Amino acid sequence: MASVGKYVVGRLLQAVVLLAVVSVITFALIMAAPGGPAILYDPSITADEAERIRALLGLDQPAHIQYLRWLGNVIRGDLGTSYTLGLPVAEVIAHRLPATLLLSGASILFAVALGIPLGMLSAVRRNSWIDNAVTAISFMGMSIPVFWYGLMLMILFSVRWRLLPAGGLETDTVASTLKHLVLPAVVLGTVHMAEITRYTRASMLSVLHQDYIRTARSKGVKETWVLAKHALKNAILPVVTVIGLLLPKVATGSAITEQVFAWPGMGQLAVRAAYQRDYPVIMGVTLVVSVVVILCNLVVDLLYVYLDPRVRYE
Amino acid sequence: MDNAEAAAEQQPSRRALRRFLRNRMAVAALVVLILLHAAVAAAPLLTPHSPEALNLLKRLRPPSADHLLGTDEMGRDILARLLYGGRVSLGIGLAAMGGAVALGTLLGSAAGFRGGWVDAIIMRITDAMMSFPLFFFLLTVLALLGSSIANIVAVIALTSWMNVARIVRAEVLRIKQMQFVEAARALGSSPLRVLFRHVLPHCLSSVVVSATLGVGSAILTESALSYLGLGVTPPAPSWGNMLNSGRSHIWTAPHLVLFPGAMIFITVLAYNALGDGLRDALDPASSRDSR
Repeated sequence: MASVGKYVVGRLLQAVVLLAVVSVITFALIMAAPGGPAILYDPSITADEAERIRALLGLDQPAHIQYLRWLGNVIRGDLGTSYTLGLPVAEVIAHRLPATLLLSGASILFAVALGIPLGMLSAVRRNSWIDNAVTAISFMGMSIPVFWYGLMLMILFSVRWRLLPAGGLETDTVASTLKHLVLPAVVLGTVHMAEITRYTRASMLSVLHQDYIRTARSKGVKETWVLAKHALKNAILPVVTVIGLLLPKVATGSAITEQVFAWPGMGQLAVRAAYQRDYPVIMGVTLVVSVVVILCNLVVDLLYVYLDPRVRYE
Repeated sequence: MDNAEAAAEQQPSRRALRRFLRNRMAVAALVVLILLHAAVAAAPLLTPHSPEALNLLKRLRPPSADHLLGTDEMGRDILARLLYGGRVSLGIGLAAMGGAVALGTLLGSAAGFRGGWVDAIIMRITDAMMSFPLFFFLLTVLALLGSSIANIVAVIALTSWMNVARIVRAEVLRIKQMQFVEAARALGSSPLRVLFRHVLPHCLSSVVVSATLGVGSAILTESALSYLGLGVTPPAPSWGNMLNSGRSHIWTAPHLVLFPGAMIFITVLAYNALGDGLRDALDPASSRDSR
C-alpha cells in the first residue's frame, strides 16, 4: 500500500499549501482595504488617540511583518483579539463552532438520508409518477433561495401554526435542541438533498444498465440482492464525490441559514464581523472554515481509495 | 416530403430546435423569462409608483387596488420595487455570468488547447477554488471593498468561472482530436486561429447551457448577499434586500417577504428549466439519465 501512503502525504501537502494561500489572500485583502477598522472612524477621537490605537493594534508595522506575526500566532493557536468584542478570536470561534457543526451535520444527515433512497427509488421506478414527482421536487429544491425558503417555513411553522420556535437555540433539553434544530437543518439540507437525489438517480441508472447487472439477473439472483450488492456499491461512488463537493456549500449555506434563524454559529459571527470590519474575526472564521473543509475533502478522498480499489492517483 | 425538406430536417440546429420545442417545461420557462425581462425593462410603463417614494402613512398595507402588491415598511409600493429591483437583480445576475463565461472560456480553452503545465496550473487553481467555501471570501471582500454594483458583479464573476472553465476545457480536449482541426493545422492556420475559428464555435452549445444555469446561481448569490446586507444597499431595491427589510415584519405583514422571494424562486427555476431544456435539446445523449 505504498502508493496509498504517497497519496496521503501528497494530499496533506496540498492541503497545507492551500491553507497558506488562503491565509495570504485573506491578509492581502485586508491590507488592500481603503479604511482601517471601524473604531478609527469614531469622530470623537483625536488624531493623537488614533495614532496610539493604530500602534496598539499593530497597524503601523509594514505589511509582511504583520502577516508573519499573525501567522506565528495562528500556529500557536492565537487568532488575535476581536476588535469589537475584546475577546480572543479563538475563544469566540470555539464558542460558536459546536452550533455550526451541529447544524451542518444535521443538514448533511437529512440530505443523505432522504436523498439517496429517493434517488434510488427514482432510478428503479424510472418514468413512473414517483420518478416525476421526485425529479420535480429536486429541481425546485435546487432553485429555491435558501433564505426565502427558511422564512416561508418560519411563517408556516412558527407564526401560523406555532409548532416550532422561530429561531435561536436553547440546549437545556435534548427535545428543545431538536425543536430548534429541525427548521434550520431542513432548510439547509433541502438544497443538497435535491442534488444528491439527482446524482444518485443518474448514477444508479447508469449502473443498472451495465452488463454485470444483467448477468446477475439472468443467473437468477434475487432482485433486492442485485440492487443492494452490485448496483448500490458501484453507484455510491459518484455520490460520495458529490457529498464531498457539498461540504464547502454547506459551510456557505450555513452562513445564510444561521442568519435567518438567529442560530448562534460561526456563520452568523462571520456576517456580523463583516459588517463591523472586525478583521481578526473575519480572518479567523475564514481560516477555520477553510481548514474544516480541506480536512473533510481529504477524508472523502481517502474514502474513495477504500471504496474503489481501481483508483490510483499519480 | 421532398428532398429539400428532408435535407433541412437533417440539420442539427433544426433537430435541436424541434427537440427543444417538444420540452414543454423548457418552453414554458422561456416564455416566463421573456415576460419577466420585458416587464422589468418596461417598469415605468407598468406602474405609476416610484420604487423609492416613501409614505409613512401607508406602511405595511396588504395588496389593494391602488398598490397591487401592497406597501412595505416605509410605505413604498412593493410592485414598483419588485420591478425596479428586478432590473438590479437580473442585471447583476446576467452581467456576473457574462464575466464568468468570458473568464471561464479564456482559462478553459487555454488549459485544453495548450495542455502541459498551463493545463496543470489552471486546473489546480480551478479545483482549489471549487473546494473552498467561497461565500466567506465574498463576505470578506465585499465588507472590505464596499458593496458597489461593480464590486458585486466582479466578485460573483470571479467565483463562478470555474464550472465554465471545466466544461470548455473538456470540450476543447474532445474537439482538438477531430480531423477537421488536424486539417486546419495542416493547411497552415496558426494555433490561435484554429482555436477561435474552428474549435470554440463547437463549444458554444455547452457554454450556453452552462451560462444559462449559471445565471440562476448568480441571481441566488446576489440576493443572498443583499439579504445579508452586503449586496445592494437600501433604499435602492433589490429582491434580496427587500427580503432583508421585510424579515422583521413576517409576523404582521408576510407579503413583504413572500413576493420578492417568490420572484427569485420563479426566475431561478425558469433559468434552470431553460438550461436543462437547452442541454437536452443540444445534446440529448449526454444527459439522458439526469432528467
